[in-house]
Amino acid sequence: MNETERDRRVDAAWSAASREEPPPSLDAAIRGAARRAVDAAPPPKRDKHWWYPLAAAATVAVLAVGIIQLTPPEQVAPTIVADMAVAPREANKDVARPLAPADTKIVEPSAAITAAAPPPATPSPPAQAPARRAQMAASGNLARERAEAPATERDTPKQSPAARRELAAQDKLASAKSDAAAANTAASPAAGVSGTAAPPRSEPFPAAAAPEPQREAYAEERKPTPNTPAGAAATRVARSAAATNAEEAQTKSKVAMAKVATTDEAKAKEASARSVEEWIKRIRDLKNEGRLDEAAKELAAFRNEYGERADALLPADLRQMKMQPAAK
Amino acid sequence: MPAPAATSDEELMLAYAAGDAAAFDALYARHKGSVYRYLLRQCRQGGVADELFQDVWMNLIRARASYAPTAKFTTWLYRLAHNRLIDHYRASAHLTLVSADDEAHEETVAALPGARSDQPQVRAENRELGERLRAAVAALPPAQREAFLLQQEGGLSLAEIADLTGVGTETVKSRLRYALAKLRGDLVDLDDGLRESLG
Repeated sequence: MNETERDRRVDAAWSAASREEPPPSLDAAIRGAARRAVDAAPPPKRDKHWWYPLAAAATVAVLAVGIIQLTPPEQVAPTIVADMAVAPREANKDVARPLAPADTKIVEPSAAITAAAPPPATPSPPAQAPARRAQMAASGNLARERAEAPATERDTPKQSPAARRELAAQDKLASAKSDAAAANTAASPAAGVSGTAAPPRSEPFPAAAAPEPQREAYAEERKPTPNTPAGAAATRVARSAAATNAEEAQTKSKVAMAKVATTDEAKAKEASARSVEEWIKRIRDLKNEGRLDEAAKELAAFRNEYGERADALLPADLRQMKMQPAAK
Repeated sequence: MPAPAATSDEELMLAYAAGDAAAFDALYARHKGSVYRYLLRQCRQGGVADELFQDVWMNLIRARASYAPTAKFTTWLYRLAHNRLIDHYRASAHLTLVSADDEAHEETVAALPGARSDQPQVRAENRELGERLRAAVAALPPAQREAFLLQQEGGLSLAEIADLTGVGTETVKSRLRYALAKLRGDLVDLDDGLRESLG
């Protein structure tokens, strides 16, 4: 007997002796049952988690729509408009652009110190600054602005704590005199200009659009005493007075803003269309006509526009001319 | 569908579970005779064997979706048959599981009634080898008979029989040893004729 406990003789005898088969009727019944079971089987089920991706997509869509609907529209669209409205103020001191970070640092600590700081220098797109410079060069103000720039750069760091406290006191006095104006100032476009409160970095739509009359008043006030702390304080007092008209000006702000935007775009296009050759030709013409002052202004504007590339663009005779105004 | 002969039982069963009715036909053709004989030898009644046989295959049809080829198909099939047979025994109160597996029960085994082939009239009736052998198997104790039939009809190994019947391999080996010894004893007087018939 082997390991499997088999006997070959018995196996062979059993194979010969045991040959029964199920009845054919039983075979047919079982085969039929098997076939019916397969035919009656339901089709393969879909994955029971088939709806997971669909539910995820629907959730994302609902969240996206909800967020869009909950987001105030003025937080999205006016950013561009705000840049456009701030651009004129920026252009007035575009030469003093390096001051922007310093100004920002001064703005942050408190509202009182913020009041002493100049209007926030919101960085404008690079393409806008040349346009504004070209516009100012055409009106003859750029040279003066450039002359002011170093003074501004010198003055700003010199705003000592004493000067800031003085400015803060003046602000409080002005605020106390006109409560209604102060209330309007807090909620009106003048808030960003008058400096009674730190303007938000991204101003909402109404605040970003400085009213036309107010901006004019600001420009007028800035002309005589632009660089000294006392002059700045006087300017702010005047702007506080102008802020009383903020409500009225607010109604005009949208129209004014549209006009400014249109004008800015047109002037920017004009400036960009002005080629280097035309500019050099005009400077040379002025020089030849003996109008050296105007030629020097134009030359300064040119240098301001092109910066370090100006020397490379200028012809030799005009390049040597650069020291003449300073010599005078 | 691939040729049934070249396809294993497990692949056929999986194909049938997937909806291939022809796979069942091939599978049924392979195993219907052995399963039927296993049941017939165990219950010894043709009608009952037919009923049990149909129940076994119907159980297989119902369980097709849960079939997993973790073991040989034949092991699974004969497990179904074995379970159905146990149910039949319980229902008919005919279960006579005599433990005659080891030497401790030799006396009990010796006391079992001898094969009908011992009786002169039966011997006279069953001249034919097949008849004698079937009778000898039928006279085996149920546990030995089951082990013998699972080995002969199902082609299961000792381990598979042990797993199916729930006993150890050594127990299965002992059962088979006793069964074969008894069958040889029953057929010893026909040994010459058996040799001739086997060639």
